[in-house]
Amino acid sequence: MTKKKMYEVFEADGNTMGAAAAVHADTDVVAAYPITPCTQVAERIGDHIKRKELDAECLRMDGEDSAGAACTAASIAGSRTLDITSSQGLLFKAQNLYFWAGARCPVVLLVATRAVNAPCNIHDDFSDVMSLRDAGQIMFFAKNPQEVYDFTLLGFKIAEDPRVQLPFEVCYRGFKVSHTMTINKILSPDGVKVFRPWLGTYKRPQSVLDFEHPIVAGGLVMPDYYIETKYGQNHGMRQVPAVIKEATNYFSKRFWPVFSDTEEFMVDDAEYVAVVLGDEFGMMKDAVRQLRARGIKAGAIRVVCYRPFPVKKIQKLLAGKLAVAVFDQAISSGGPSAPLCSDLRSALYNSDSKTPVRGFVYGLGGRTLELTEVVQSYESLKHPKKWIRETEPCWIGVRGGSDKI
Amino acid sequence: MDNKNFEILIEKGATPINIRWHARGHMGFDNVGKMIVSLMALKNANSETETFGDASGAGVFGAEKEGAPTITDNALSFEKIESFAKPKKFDVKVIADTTIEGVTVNTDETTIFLVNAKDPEEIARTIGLGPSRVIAVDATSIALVEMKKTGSKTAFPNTAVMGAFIHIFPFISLEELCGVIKQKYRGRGEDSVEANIACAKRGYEEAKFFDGRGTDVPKAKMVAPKLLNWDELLPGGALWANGNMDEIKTGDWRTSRPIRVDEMNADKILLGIKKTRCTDCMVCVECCPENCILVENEKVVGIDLDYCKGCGICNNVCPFGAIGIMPEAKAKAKEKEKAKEE
Repeated sequence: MTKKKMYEVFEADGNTMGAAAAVHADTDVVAAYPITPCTQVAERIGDHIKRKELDAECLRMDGEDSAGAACTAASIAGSRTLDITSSQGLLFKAQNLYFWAGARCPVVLLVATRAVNAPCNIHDDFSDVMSLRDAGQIMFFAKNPQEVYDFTLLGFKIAEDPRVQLPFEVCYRGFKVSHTMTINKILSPDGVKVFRPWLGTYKRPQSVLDFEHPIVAGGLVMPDYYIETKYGQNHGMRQVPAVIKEATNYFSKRFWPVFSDTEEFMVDDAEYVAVVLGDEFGMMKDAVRQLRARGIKAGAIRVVCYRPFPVKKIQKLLAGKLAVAVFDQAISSGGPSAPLCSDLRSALYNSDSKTPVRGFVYGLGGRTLELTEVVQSYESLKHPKKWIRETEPCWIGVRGGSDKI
Repeated sequence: MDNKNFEILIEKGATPINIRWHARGHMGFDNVGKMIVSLMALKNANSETETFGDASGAGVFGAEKEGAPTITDNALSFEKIESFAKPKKFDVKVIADTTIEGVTVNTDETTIFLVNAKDPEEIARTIGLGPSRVIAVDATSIALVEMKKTGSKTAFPNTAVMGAFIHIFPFISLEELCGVIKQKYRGRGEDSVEANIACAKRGYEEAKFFDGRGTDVPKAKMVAPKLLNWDELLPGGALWANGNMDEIKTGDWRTSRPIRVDEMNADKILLGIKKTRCTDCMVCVECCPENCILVENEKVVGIDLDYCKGCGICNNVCPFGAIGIMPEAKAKAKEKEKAKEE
């Protein structure tokens, strides 16, 4: 069988690709509440159900919190469950994310990331997903509609693995990915025939609907057992890297290549490296090319799998670099650095590398990051003495702002 | 019994003195924990030196319900208390209800037991407190008598136990305790203050002492529950079994008991034989939250005391006044009498 038969070309935006993945993964239950810019995912899934391309329950809930609770119930009962949200909706749903992780519900959650009120803003930044990065879910950041599709498919495989049993979050920037039309690959009918048996049907190890071995889920656990339960949850997270490797290896071999932890661009011989999440990696690549033309050895890294954080890989990639710039599209107000930068610094601190790390904050509420700003940021890395004493990240592109790149 | 030779007084020392109160919900022992701290605060306010000592008090919370076993911990110290960790050994254990299990955990021969019972030696042997010092005070009876005397509905056994409790701490006077009780019960009315102060005074006077050190009082063997490792549990905090409510007889949480009204003043309790006011309307059956009203052939035949928690809803809803409420201790005493006769 040739590889070509496995996929077909499909021009679509990020939301449509997410819905296509839900169909190809044979989702059982979708519970969602509309919120810009992720609403279309649920709308498209509704269309698919109407056209009988997908046999699923699409629940129209009266709020994000109840949608999350419906997903909990569906997952505990043993359904393959998908949820979609964004911004305020994610925060309204926050307690459910902790519940999914704690009660081991492998719900796949698509988040079209968006700024959080106030002031009201519907455009992209990572404030929403970053505020819940410790809820216990696996987090993947997609850079284009293609990856939204890939990670949603792989998300079910990874999350539902008996070793893992944890929620899986696919983050992609609102409008910039969710509403950008691109030419993508999706599984062809032949591809689906190969993919579905590999994915299998979801079998929850202990279902409340298993009448032979009934359980109570969500009961009160006192101090004598709570930490053991949480250890079990964290143990599931520790198994994730190996499970991701298995899944992405198979997918890359059988269908098309996918990333598993990080994506690198000209990092091997680089002296100055930028680290970023999501689709802004394209901008970093442009900057690297420009800088290399001027003889500056630049490189760029995209963190694809943010939770679990690829600590070993990052340590290895950044060993011996002269300086690192970390670009965050979210803030930790009053903290020493923004979320991604904090994690990266912690990962490097106990390694042999003493590479200085500078944090940048850009693009809050959808402000465009300019190529010149990225290039300037790279150039500032050459003079660590000027910024090494900074106690906060440097804000890029603020009119009248006092931070100097 | 003479208490003069009873060397149980914990003298002014540097280490914190750890106290644990075993009681049941609604007996007022979370209040006791707070009152101990109030006592120490009063000591500090009246102290000539800068501070007299420090105290902490905290309930250990779980399933709160009237009659459920509760734990309250106190620490008293003459230095600043900075750790709120639960100690491995208690210097004083107060047992407000002798039917609670596991009261001898974390004790040794130096522990002083204060028990809500009539006879210290008898109760030490019944529970198995080991060769240690025991104080007994019949707090429940005291509270019931004082409640009747003053007409107050809120005289608690806890204040009677507190009265006996201050024998252990010579630096706390009865006057100081009464002051704190006054402060605490002011909101419940004058009769409540009067009743509880009377309880405390009688508790102080009627405490009985038994020095069991060197005697053959047996110590109840405590088998520590085997706790499972994380990988032996179901993931996500799920519980294996359900529908196992029947195995846990929660009736012993009850502090009052529903009784047929025509038995309220009778000498004996004859549940479900003769009915005068009941018309089998089944309102109580519908309203009982624990499904404890027993029905046979469309007739109400009695109450399932294995699970009845004495909430009194049946008493409230009965349109014919056929169900009354009696304090559990009184009902038990009547039951005993009946058993003796037979």
